[in-house]
Amino acid sequence: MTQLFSPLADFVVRLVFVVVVATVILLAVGAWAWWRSPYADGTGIIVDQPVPFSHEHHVSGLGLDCRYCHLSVENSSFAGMPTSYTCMTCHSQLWDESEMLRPVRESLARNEPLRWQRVHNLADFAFFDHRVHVSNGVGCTSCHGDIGEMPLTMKAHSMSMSWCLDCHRNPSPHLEPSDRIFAASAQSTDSEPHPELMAAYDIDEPSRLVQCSICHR
Amino acid sequence: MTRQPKNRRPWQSLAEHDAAPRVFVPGVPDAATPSTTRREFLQLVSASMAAAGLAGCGQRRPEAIVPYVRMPESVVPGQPRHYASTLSLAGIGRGVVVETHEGRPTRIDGNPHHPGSLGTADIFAQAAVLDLYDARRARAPTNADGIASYGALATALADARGGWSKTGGAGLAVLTEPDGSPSFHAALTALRSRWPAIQWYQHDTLLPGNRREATRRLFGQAADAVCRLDHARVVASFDCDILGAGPAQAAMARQYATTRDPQAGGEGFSRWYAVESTPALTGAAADHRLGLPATEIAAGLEQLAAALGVLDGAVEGPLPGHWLRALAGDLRAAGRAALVLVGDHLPVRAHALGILINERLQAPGNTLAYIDPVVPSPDRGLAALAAGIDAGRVTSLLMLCHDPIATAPGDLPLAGLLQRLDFCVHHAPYTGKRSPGDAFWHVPQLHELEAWGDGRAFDGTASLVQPAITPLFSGMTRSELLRLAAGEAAPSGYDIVRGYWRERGGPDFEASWRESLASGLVRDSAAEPLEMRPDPRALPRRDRHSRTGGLSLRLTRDETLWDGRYVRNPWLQELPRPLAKTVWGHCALLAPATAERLGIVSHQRLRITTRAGSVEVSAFVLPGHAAEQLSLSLCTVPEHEEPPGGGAEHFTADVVDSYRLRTGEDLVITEVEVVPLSVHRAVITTQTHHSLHTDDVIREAVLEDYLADPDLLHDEPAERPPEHSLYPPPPEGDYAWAMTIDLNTCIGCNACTLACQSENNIPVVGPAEARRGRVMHWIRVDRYYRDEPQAPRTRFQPVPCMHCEYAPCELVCPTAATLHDDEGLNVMVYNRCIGTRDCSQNCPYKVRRFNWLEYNPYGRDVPLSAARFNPDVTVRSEGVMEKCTYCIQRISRARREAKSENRPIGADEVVTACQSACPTRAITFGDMKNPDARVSGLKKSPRRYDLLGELNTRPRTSYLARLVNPHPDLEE
Repeated sequence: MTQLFSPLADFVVRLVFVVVVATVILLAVGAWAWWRSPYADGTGIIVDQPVPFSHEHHVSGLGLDCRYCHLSVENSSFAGMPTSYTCMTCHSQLWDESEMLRPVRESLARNEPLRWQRVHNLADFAFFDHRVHVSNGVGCTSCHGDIGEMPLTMKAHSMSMSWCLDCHRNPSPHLEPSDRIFAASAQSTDSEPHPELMAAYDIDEPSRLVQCSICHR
Repeated sequence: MTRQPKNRRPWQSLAEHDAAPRVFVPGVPDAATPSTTRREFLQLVSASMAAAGLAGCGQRRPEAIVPYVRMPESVVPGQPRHYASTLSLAGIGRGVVVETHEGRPTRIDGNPHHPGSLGTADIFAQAAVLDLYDARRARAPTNADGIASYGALATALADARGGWSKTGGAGLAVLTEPDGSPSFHAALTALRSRWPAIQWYQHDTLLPGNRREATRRLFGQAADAVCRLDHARVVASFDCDILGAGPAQAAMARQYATTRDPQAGGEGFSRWYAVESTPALTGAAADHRLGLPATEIAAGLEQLAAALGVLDGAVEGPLPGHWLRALAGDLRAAGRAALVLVGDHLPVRAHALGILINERLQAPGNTLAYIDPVVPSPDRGLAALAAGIDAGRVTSLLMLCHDPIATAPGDLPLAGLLQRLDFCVHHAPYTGKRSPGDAFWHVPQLHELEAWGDGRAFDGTASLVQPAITPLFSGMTRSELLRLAAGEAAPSGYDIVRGYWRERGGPDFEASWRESLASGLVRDSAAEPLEMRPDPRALPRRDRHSRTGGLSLRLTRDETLWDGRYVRNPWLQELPRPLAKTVWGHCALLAPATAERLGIVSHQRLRITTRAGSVEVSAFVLPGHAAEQLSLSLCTVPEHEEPPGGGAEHFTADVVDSYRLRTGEDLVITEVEVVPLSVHRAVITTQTHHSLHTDDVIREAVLEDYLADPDLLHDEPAERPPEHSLYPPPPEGDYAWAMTIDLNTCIGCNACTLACQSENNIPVVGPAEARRGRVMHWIRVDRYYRDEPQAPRTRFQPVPCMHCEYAPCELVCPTAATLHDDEGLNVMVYNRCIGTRDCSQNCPYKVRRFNWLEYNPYGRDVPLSAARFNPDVTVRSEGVMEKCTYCIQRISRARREAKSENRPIGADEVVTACQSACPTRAITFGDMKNPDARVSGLKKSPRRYDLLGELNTRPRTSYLARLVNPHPDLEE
């Protein structure tokens, strides 16, 4: 009886097997890598804005306080975005003919709002409140990164649920003293716990902060 | 103990009553037969499998942040703003507080300072948000040539004005609907003094004017009666649904509730008698209810008048002797604290007798006050207008009236007569019925949430209407249109109303104006009581020819659609009517015995014919309905109006044009023919959608017994399992949220259901889905009957999620999408839910609702419908389970505010939506751990009991048992 399969066939079968397994592994690794990459969560990616606003220039350079533009951050869940009028308090005098600032001038003249593109876009079933965070020791830079060093605004952290939970499970190392809440750059990269700040802000037990109902409703 | 009514088995439907012992009655009569073939089904399955794979991918859609160009003063982005304003019903204002988010009105609450609302809003006020965002509203003036400009309207009015000035206004008529607005009537008076020959007519769809006529005869002047139910100890209602839907419902219900409090040892606990034709909320709340057809109720009042000595001699009538003796004795004993109420549809003589009885009891000054009419009326209605047009006295007409053509009685050919007019302007929010060739102008009316104006409460208190949003579509207010007609170039509603009050304001007008805008009402503007004595000699003679036997038809106001004007409102269409629990359509109600005699069954189509016209409508047999009478609510069928840009949520309800049956102003029609047809069209009723497997749902006791032994309601079922569980105890946090619902004061008005719907973005499912039992309300009001179907006692029970401490739903969720938090909330995590529906299957209270389809019109394609959403609550999508959250967004707001201010949450700081809307304050919510919270006290009440407590679910929602106060001689 002759051989049904040639010697090559054996090789082909093995090759196919290896290729299939390798493809599956590669796909899995690729998906994992993609999932962890900025493409998936948008960290480090600059979003096009109607006006290329620089936090680096305005905050670190000129020393504007965060609350000059984001004025409801201490009173509301929404931090607030500057009105066109707010921009024009300075830019009616400075750079008042700059081509870059034309959209702002036109917005005020035509009474049409600017449409800024959202950089930090939480899922609609997760609710975040700026006020309760800034009044309990979470500084701007804790979530928004070194915003004072960003020429163009981008997301510094993934804003994923696991990232939120890292802090809700163990808030202590992430707290800032009350005079550093609105500081333009991160105070320190230490991960030392701050029990004195936990006491000063009267932070709930972490078991309370990880209840579903804290963020989802 | 035989006096204990609580052990009598309650029942929800006639099928259930006839079946013994208690069995499961399928609530869905005939779930729609699947219209899909097997092949299509497989195609759909494969397509949805493919789509499921895609759903996992996809980036979040980019979103824009749109800041103000210039921010208005004192706006905090992200924080709701509240405006005090007024919404009117039947021309009478109810003070409201409008909640707006970023300029969008999303919710209506009652204004606590306003006497007509006392901090709560009825279903119509709450549903106004949906009317505001209705894309079908008229958007521009139209005339015979189609869309026209306001300039063209002004020109047309200027041409017409030339004619009026020559004749002093002869030939011009103004048709209004009831409107208590002082500034509107000032504008109307100004118009009439400029052209004195103007004829004024008023079209009141629901009030035949009998009450007003009776006061005019007996007092010599028209007057409104303002009731003080909180002063009343004995109330007898003759077909007057004072606790039912109406412009003073909130105030009346609150006053009623204050007299049902057993705290003061039964001191001042009221006793209510109701003689009723169509079952209504007042009869359900009453201690004694007697069903009589509307044609015989006046005769019952004659009997009472004779028994109280108002009429001489004994009078034969339909009231049973022992009933009459008990009622008359109670009324006489209560004296000044007694009150007799007479329904609007009863004849003038019945109203006059009511006035005389109240006078004999010395009720005026205590339980009753007469005031000048809140809504001015010319006392000339549509019939007079039709006669005027027919005689040529009216040649041009301003119709400031919702939809007079559709709501005209069937025997009044108004549509044809209007074609004879030279000039006609119709001012209303919807274009309504119009024929293609007619020469009318139609001018869109602004919604009250986008207009300036004012109004008067039922007691005369004036309040302001202020806009909460700039007009979505172009339009005018009534006052503006009158000023435009008078020749003012660009009338402004703000100037009109401010000008009116400035003339009447004191020297410091600016301050009082600002105060009125902030508080919503004009200080000390309630009407003064009139000092008047009725003249008994003016009592109209008894009409001995009026037929009392035989079948009659009563046309009622609709409990959820009012006079048909809310027929386009999906929230109100899907809100179960309190008694019949019908949705998405209306039906002819009749008594079980009458149905049997006529050979009619529920859902059977009937042809009802009167002298005016004929309609076909489904029948529905309602326990407790008066024999030999049919009840049909007044409604119109809206023209098919396709909203520009389409959009979801536009469903067709099974309503009929019942105005076609009306003869003149009559609401009770004796000449009626009913032909049962062989066709059946199922009425959608929600009552049997969710049944609890227990007979111990509603506990109640007789007041006397309760006072003698407060613990008698406390007996637990015999085989109650011991209080321990295999499952670990739930975690315990700083707060323990809990609720009590007082069945003693719940009148079943549905305000809680609608409040919950508007607060929690609960979708409307439409008639097809409602028929399948898929209505989404998080808090349903169950209706139960006790006793026999001819004369049942009606009981209501609102059922939200119980937030069980040992929640059966949580144990069966495969993804832990529903679980406990440490404050006792049974939370739903929507993004974890995969839609197995096991939780709903395992819920003994049947309070979980599943999104079978994408019910919410969410997304960018229907921005107008999405505008009403509460931004603090997730909008759920298809395939997700949902249920009452105890308004977790309000708890969260309170927690975040407290945390930011470094303080604990206050004792009664969190108020749920249902609680805020409840007119009788039957719902109490709070922190059970805090001894100062009201709910902690109520949880200790001897009346407290837990629904299905024997299952050891330990519900956080408890009920307080109902107390009844029957006359000792009338107890069975």
